[in-house]
Amino acid sequence: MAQGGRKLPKKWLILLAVLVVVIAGAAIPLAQSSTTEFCMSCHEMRRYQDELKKSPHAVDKDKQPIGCQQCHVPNSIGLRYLTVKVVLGFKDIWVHQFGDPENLDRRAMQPVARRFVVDENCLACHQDLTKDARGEKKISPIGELCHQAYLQENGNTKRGCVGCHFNMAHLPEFDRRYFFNQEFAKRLSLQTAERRR
Amino acid sequence: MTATGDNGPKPKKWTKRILWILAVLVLAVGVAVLYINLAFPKVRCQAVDHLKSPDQLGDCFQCHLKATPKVAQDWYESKHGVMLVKCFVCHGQPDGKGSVPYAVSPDVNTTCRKCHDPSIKKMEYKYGLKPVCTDCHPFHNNSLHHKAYVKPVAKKTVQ
Repeated sequence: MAQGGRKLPKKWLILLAVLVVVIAGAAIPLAQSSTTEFCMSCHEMRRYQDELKKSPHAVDKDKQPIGCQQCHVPNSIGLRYLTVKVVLGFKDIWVHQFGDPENLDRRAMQPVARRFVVDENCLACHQDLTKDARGEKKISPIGELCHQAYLQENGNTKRGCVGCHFNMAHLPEFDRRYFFNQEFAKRLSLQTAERRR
Repeated sequence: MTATGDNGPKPKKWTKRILWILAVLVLAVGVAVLYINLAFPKVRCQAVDHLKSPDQLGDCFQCHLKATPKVAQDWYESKHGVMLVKCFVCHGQPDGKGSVPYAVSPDVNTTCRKCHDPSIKKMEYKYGLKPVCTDCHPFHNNSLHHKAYVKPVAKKTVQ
């Protein structure tokens, strides 16, 4: 009886210890690889940081620089977080090792990137959908209708935030011709001109 | 008899074990792929539903004023809207009739050419072509009103 009573907890204790080690061993690299510094350790990511710095999403409302993970990795830790980490992580490693990271097809990348930007990350900063991006002025009537449709109050659009709000932080060459990307494009072209000098 | 008895079950056990491991692996990958597609759908637009329920076939614009207000209004005010180039001309019809396949994002190289072939050829001869029409020419946003006389950058930067 006593032997059996001791044996069972010992088994469970070992299992628990293994679980803790596995979770800690997984959580630490997961957290460490969710930093801008880690992203920038691959040289092909530089251009995206350069674009981000000239974008409307360069700094938040406290003038703190916005990191890659704030948009590209789900804020809440859970199944979605793990999925994004695993899928995007393996994709990035694969392309870095076996792809051609210097000449990426950004047109093909856009839908993939947008697919894995979750709405909760946008809503973390932009809570009031009746106000503009800074939360100051009211948005246009059309914009209000769109957000009502998004909130399922009036209509039911299934597009997420990034389904309508394109080029918030990155602007590939082929998108720069749109007149509503004018300002962003101008800032980017100034940047490249500076670098050439 | 004994030799075959010893050798018989052993490989069977191993093949069984490998089969089990394989089955679990395949199941795990399958569940993972299913979850990824459910949690992060490739196409978030539910236009696919139009194919399933025939009652969803009707006046695109009336419904899309609510479903996608910006797109609907942009189209309404655009040159395409003013000329009454209706949704189906580019997006096709859910029942699959007509020459244009039903698509959320139509293949610009074929749908644009249906009407604009002469001007595309002219542009190609003069300037060469960018790979995708919509890189320079907005399709829903090419407005007559609002900033009608502010020419989009697109038209200026084409060399």
